[in-house]
Amino acid sequence: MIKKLSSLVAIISFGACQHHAQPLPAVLSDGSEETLNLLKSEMAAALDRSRVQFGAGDLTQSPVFVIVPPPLGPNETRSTAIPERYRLEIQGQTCFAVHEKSDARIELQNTPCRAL
Amino acid sequence: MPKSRVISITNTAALIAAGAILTACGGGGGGSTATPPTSVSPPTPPTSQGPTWTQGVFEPASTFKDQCAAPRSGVDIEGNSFPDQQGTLLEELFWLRSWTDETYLWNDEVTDRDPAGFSDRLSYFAVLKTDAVEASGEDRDDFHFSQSTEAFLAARNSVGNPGFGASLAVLQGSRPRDIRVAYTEPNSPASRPVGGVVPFPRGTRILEIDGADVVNGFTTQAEIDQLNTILFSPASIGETYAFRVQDTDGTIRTVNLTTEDISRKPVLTTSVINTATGNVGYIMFNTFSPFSSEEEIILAMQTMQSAGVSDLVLDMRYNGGGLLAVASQVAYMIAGPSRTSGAAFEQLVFNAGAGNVNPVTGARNDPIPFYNEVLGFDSGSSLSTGASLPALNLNRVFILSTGRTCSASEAVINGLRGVDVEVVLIGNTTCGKPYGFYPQDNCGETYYTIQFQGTNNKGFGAYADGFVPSNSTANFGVRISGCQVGDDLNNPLGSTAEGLLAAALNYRTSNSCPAVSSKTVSTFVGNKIADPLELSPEAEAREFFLRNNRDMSMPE
Repeated sequence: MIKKLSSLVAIISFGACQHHAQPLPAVLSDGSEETLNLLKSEMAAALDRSRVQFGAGDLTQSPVFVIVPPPLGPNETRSTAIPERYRLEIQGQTCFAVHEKSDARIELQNTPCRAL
Repeated sequence: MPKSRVISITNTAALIAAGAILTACGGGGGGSTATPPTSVSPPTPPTSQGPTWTQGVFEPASTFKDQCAAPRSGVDIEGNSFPDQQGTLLEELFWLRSWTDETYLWNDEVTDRDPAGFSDRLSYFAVLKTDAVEASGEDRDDFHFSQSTEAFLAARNSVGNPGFGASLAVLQGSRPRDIRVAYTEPNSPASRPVGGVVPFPRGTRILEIDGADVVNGFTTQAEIDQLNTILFSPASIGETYAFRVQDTDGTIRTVNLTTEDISRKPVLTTSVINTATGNVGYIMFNTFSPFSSEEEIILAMQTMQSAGVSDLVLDMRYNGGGLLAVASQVAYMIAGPSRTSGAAFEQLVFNAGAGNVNPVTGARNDPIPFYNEVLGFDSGSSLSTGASLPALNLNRVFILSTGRTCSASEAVINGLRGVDVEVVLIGNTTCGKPYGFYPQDNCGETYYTIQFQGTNNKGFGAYADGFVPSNSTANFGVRISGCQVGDDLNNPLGSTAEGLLAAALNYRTSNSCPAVSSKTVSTFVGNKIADPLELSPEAEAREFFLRNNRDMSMPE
């Protein structure tokens, strides 16, 4: 996943140079199941996973969201699993999910968002 | 590798060579080619019959990953495509060998054996571990096992499991058996009152099931297996059994229970005990595993903070561990910001070859901090991700323990000791598992091999023989302040009359312990976990307490 994110950083950073607007914190345009599923679908594709699950948070109110790890198996008594935190940003007309730890930016082509 | 396997590969190579000859010659017959070949290069003989073993030389595990004797196709139950490619058993074994060398904590203690001498992957995996023993005589590595990936994925994706909602304590597994109820899940068949009577209050002894004598019956191995299944891993919901039980006051009654889908509740009980010397908080915390454990323990700590408790009794006697991140949050909420700021809750220590890199994830091996905010594990949580955690700012904490207090629970103890919070241990020796692993699938088998040891802010993590209350008669383990007290099944959890909680409250004011009686000690002392991880995942998931205490094997 880290390699994938690094690639995305490189690709998207190049694209970002072509935008003149500053990135702004953003939230989802609406809280519908359809919009949430669009975001899940785009995040899953970017992370090369079949599906992702969001943790606590309301993406129509706060730009921050987390993707939770897969649930623990019954033998995992000392697991390092931890949610990965992202924030929504909008730059020009384009929405991004930014991985907070690495600053990797994932362009969201189908998920509608608006500046907070 | 067995001879037959070598022959198989050799024959395959010969067939390929023969095929190559036929292809190069334009086929074996038919004569449809008008132009005869004018020159034919001899086929290149195969230069390799698979990987070869050179002692002490390891190719990267990635060379052999997903090269399977029986590759899977399609997707798993999580929707991920299987990565398998056609390979050989030998490649699977070479993957195990290289993966062990790269990630096993004690890789320098593993005898390097030629995979070709093994006929199956499990028997080879079984020897890819250290043979060293701890000072106590226990194996250094008690946690080396595997299971089918199908079972692993099924277990981690199941919301609940069929059961009655009772965790049982096997005080004596051989006849005459003594099997008691340790605790029950809220709103489960075992706890939901029937006619105003709770079916399985703590301490209830099970005498008969459907008229069969649990105490002295179930004598054949088949019957014992049946008993284990009924009690610990019923196959489905909707199974009804008639239990004849004996209450702690001697009353004998019969109750019918039907299995339901049972999910474990992380925080079982929370209370504030008013004393002349201030409020004392009590939290019964049973598991760090479900994502809901984060919200439940934070809300419990908020209750403690609101009540202004001056001491906390954290009951983890049946807590086998789970998420280290939640363990870190628990430690932070006890210790508060001044002690934990900038400190490591736990540093993972990998094998010497890993350097400062986690050899499993490839990421830099940064310490796990004391998390001071909501991490957002639970999608249904009422808490906002990133919100500050409550803090009790205590300089000591009472932890109730048994041999079931394990892994992430022990990380709380060790992490707090690393920032000079006094941990007073009331109960018995903890299980002694400072180690962890990342389950790893290859070719349909999920392997568990110890990959790291957790150390605290002072660099300490050597508690493989457990933490031991200071007045214990145990010869091994890390002795810390506290009292050895046997689990008290005759009183409800959270009652100030219950043995462990009563001892904690008494120690709090007098610094003294109750007398150690052989009877109370015998329940759990010496009951160090042999290997909780060898049980089937089904049994593990459905009954985590019993697994370490039951012995229903046939007599010799």
